[in-house]
This record gives sequence, structure tokens and C-alpha cells, in this order.
Amino acid sequence: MNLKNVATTGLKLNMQMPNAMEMSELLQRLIQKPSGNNFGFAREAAASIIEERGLPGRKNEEYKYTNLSKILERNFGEFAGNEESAADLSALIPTLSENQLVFINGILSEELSNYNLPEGISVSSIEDSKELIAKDVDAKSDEFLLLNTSSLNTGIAINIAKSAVIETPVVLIHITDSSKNQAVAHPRVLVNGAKNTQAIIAEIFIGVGDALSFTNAVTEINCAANSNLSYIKIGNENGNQLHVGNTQVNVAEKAVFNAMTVNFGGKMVRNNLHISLNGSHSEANLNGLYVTDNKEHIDNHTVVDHKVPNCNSNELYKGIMNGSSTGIFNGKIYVRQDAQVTNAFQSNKNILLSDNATINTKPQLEIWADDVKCSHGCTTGKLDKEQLFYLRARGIGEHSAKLMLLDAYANEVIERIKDENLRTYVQGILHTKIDE
Amino acid sequence: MLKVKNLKASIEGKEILKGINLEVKPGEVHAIMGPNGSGKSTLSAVLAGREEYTVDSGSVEFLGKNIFGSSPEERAREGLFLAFQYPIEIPGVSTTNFLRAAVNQVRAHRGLPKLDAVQFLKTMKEKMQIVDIDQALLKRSLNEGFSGGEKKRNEIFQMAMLEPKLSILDETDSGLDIDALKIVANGVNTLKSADNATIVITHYQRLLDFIIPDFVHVLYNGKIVKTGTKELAYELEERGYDWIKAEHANA
Repeated sequence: MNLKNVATTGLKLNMQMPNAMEMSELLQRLIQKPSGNNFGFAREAAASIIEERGLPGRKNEEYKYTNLSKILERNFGEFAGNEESAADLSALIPTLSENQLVFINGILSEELSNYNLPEGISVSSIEDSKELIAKDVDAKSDEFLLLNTSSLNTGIAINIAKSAVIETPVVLIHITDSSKNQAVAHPRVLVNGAKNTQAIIAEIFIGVGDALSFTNAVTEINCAANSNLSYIKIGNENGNQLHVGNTQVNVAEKAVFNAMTVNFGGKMVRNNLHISLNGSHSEANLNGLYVTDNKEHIDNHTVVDHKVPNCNSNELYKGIMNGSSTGIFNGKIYVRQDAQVTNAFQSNKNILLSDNATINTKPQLEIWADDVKCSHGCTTGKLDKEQLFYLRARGIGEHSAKLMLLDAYANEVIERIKDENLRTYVQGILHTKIDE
Repeated sequence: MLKVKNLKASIEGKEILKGINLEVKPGEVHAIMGPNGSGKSTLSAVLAGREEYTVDSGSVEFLGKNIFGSSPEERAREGLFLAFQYPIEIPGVSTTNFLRAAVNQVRAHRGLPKLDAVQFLKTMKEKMQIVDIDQALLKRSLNEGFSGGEKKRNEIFQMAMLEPKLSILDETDSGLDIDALKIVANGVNTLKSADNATIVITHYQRLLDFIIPDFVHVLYNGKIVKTGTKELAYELEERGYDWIKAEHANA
């Protein structure tokens, strides 16, 4: 994966960490030291970069509003490694597909998983791809991605064979369990879709436990020529969870990649979705929904990098924010000089249900080509008073009128989830969350 | 049914209604006419419970109860219906789903059981004929992309579904061609009974050829300055509103 072009413009690094010594100690605690050493080279290379750079603090432009380092530093001072809880986690696990893999604190649980993979799709240890991962260690990568690589022990690779059409989604359920003590997980997933494939991959992040936890997930997706892959990420974490997700996607010619990122909470969540359109006539669709309450903080950073001609990207992110929660949307679109005849559209819409909720939204378009159709827009407001009154004037109670409007608003995104089980699951969480 | 006594109301400190008196009995049709800015739409908004308006004094009794303590939804459930001058578009909410929620909440308030999907559809099909509205339209997002005529027909269709005691039609005729106007008026006439009443708010006499009023009131500068029968509407059509303005200015 070549991130060099992007990283030079996409990431402004702050190398001057005020307390580099302490940060390094924090890193020593966060970086897991598994017994196996199959990723030795990649891990050491990543660790040395991240130790030099430190985790991004407030002065880092990319993490200005999402200062995870501070919380990590304050809370993982005593961290001594994950401890398994005796709790029965099976009740937490929704049944969404015949192909479900469950991970507890980043480790695959054969016991809780249930899968019967159809022909054309295989799941293997990510160890088989260790050379690829080693090659990808890039000094300019996101710090948390490097942190994940430096802790790499286990992970899975999903390979979809050439021309396979997989109708049942592959659902990966990640549970971060901090019921016994603080927990840190570095889930790692690699998806390789060969030519002409079609598949849906979903990752669901759930939290359990009262202690603070930190999930630092990395998912890399390669869409070969003429493939059609959908990736759905659903975060339903609790108020004790910190989450960073780096999703890196490469899209080859004539391929279509659909991303859906849905978040229903977490203490502090950061999603980095980075899509490179590397082959001409490829297409990326990015949809997102974030629903926040209390003091939750959800940050979506997206990058669509148009590198070649004749590609399309469409992006729609919607937020519903209540309480004193914070939402952040930062959407970058790069249209490289070679990327003539590009269509790139971006929209971010927000509803603030409370006067104390905040949204920071920033579209960022950098265009070097000239034959380009590009647009972006953002709106932020309260629930439409006129619509609310119209419904109430027909006898619909204020509460159900609000739910009806929010449901319709969110559905513009949710209805784009093609798989019915996953769509119903998301709608169910939405209804619970907005009905509080 | 409706007793409005010396109603004064304002918005953002500006007094719009300056002492309205009006009584509507079951079975009656009242027309309220008046030039632009006379307070016609404010009156309907205050009756329906819009929160932007402040009621400064006076009282409104609906079915023997003071309505000012009630929310818009409570008034609707009691049987007050406002057909909007500009029906609101609500993307993502279909007319069918919206009406099912409305009908069932109104029914619950009246102590009636919920309509299940089959009963609801059956009722809907009956009422659709009253205003000649297409079912395909009702599956679409509420009023979104509807033509002016479709929006107004949808208002009367909702009225038919909710079976109100008192309907206030706020400039329902505005922007309608004659065919649409006839359909809408025919709908209103079909729904008319000895137990319910209608207030027709309009600028023009045209609608009153099809919905025959028992009383015509002229609203000017926040007050009802003249009350008569349908002949008054013809006179207004003939002479315009200037003589009312002049008369009132002299008074």
C-alpha cells in the first residue's frame, strides 16, 4: 500500500512532544508484547517510528479536537495487560449472519464464533500476509495505525477468490472487555477482494465493562479490478471506551467500494477512513451516521484520494447530537493532477438536539486537475420546527413526532445498507438511542 | 362548538389579533375573509396552537374547554383540524406511515382501539375516493415533490382520515386551478355533517361558490369588522376591500 502521496499532504506532524519521556513509557504499556514474534520486523519498524513521533496530541492538526493521548496518558498509567473476564459474553453477541467471527480484546474466539464460509471466501491468519504488512510500514502513516502494527500479534485475512459472489455478509464482532480491569485491543483485519468479486464485510464494535478500554483497530481492504465490496462499520460502544479505527482502502479500476460507518457512542471515538481510487473508472461511496449523547465524542476523518481519471466518489455523513456531546467531521477530497474527469461530492448534515452539543465540520478539497466536478456542503441545525408542528397538528405527540423525524433523517443513510439483518440491527440501536 | 371571546394575540411583541369574537356551532360553515395582513392566518395558527404566537388576552373554548392549556396534538386529538395554507414537506416519512401514527394516536385519545394494517388500509381506500387521491402518492414522502393541487388534496384526505369536529381551511384555495378547487370543495362538502363545523379562510370569493358558507366575516386589522351571509362575499368580490378599509379608517 502506498500512502506516501497522501501522507505528505494529509498529515501534518508535530514531532515536538512536550513530554516525550512519559509518552514513551505510555507506549511501552500500550504496546502489547505477545510471545510469538512472527511480525518481528514490521513490529519493530513501526514501534521505532511511533516511539520517535509519540502519540498525537492537541498540537497535531489532525487530532486537534480529539486529544486521545491525554486520556490515554491519564488512564493507562497502571496498565498491566488485559485480563480475561469470567463473564459470559455470548448474550452480547447479536446474530447477524451465518458467518460471524467474534474477537475478544482483539483475539479470535473460536468458541463464540459461528461460521460456515461459502465457497470462494476464506479466512486465514494475518501471519500469511506478514511481508505485505512489513512493506506497508510507512513513516508518514497515522500514529495509531503504527501503534497497531507495533503491537501486531494476531489478526485475520479475509480472501475472496476471483469472480466469487458472496451474498451472506461476513460479520466480525469485536468485543472489548474491560469488566475485570482496563483493556487494550489492537484488532487487525485484512480484506482482499480479487477481480470481479462481490461481498459485504461488516465489523461491529461492542464494549463491556466499567473500566476504561482502548480499541485501536486497523482494517485494510483491497478491491481488485471490477470488484464490488461493501464495508460496514458499526460502533456501539459504551461511555468507558476509547476507539481509534484506521480503515485503509485501495480501489482498482472499475471497482466499486461502499463504506458505511455508523457510530452510536463511546467516550472518544476516532474513525480514519482513507480511500485511494487507484484505478480508472472506479467508484467510492462513503456513508456515515453518528448519534451521540451525554459527553460522547465521535470524530470522523475521511480521505478520498482521486489518483486517476474517470472516477466518482459520493459522500454523505449525518449526525444527531444530544447532551453535551461532540461530533467532528473532517472530509478531505484530493483530486490529483492526473485525475481528470473526476466527480466528487461530499455532504455533511447535522441535527443538534441540545444547546450544549457541538459539531466541528470541515470539508477540505484539494484539486490539482482541471476537468473536475466537485462539490461539498454542510448543514447544521435543530429539528425543523415547521415539520414538528405539522405532525403535532395531526395529533402525533411531540415525542413520537421527534422520533419520526429523526428516524426519517437517519434513514437516508441507513437505507443504503443493503443487507436486511444489518440494516435492522442498526435501526434497532438507533431507536433505542434516540428514544432515551 | 367554538367560542372565541375578545382574543388578542401577538408575535415578537407585535399585536396581530386585536380582539376577535367568533362563535361557531355544529353544522355551520363560516367563511373568514379579509385583505392580506389582516390576521387571518394568525387566527388559524393561534387556534391550532403554534407556539410562536403569544395569546395576550381573551379566551377560546373548544367543545366547552379552554384550549390554551393544550398542546397542538391534544387539540388535534380533541377534534380540531387545520388544513395548512402551505403543507409542509417531510422527506423520509410516507403519508401512509404518518397517517397511521396520527389516526391511532387520535383513536387512543378517543378511547378507540388501534386500527391494524388491514383495517387502516381499508379506511384509507374509502377516504381516498373523497378527494380522488392516488395510493402511489401516499406511499411517497409526505408532500415532497407534490404539486400544489396534490398537497391541498392531501390535506383534505388527512381531514377525512382524522374525522375532526372543527376544520379550519387556511387559504385552501390559493393556487388551485378550477378542477382542483372543485375536487377539494367536493371533499369538504362530502365530509360535512350536522355534528361538525368548518371555518374557511380565504382571500377570494371563488371557493365560496363551492363551499356555501352560513356566515361570512370580514377580518381587518386584527378584528372582525363585518359579519353577513354569502352575499357579503359577493359584495367583496365586486367592490374589493378598499371600502372596508375606508369604512374602518373613518370609524
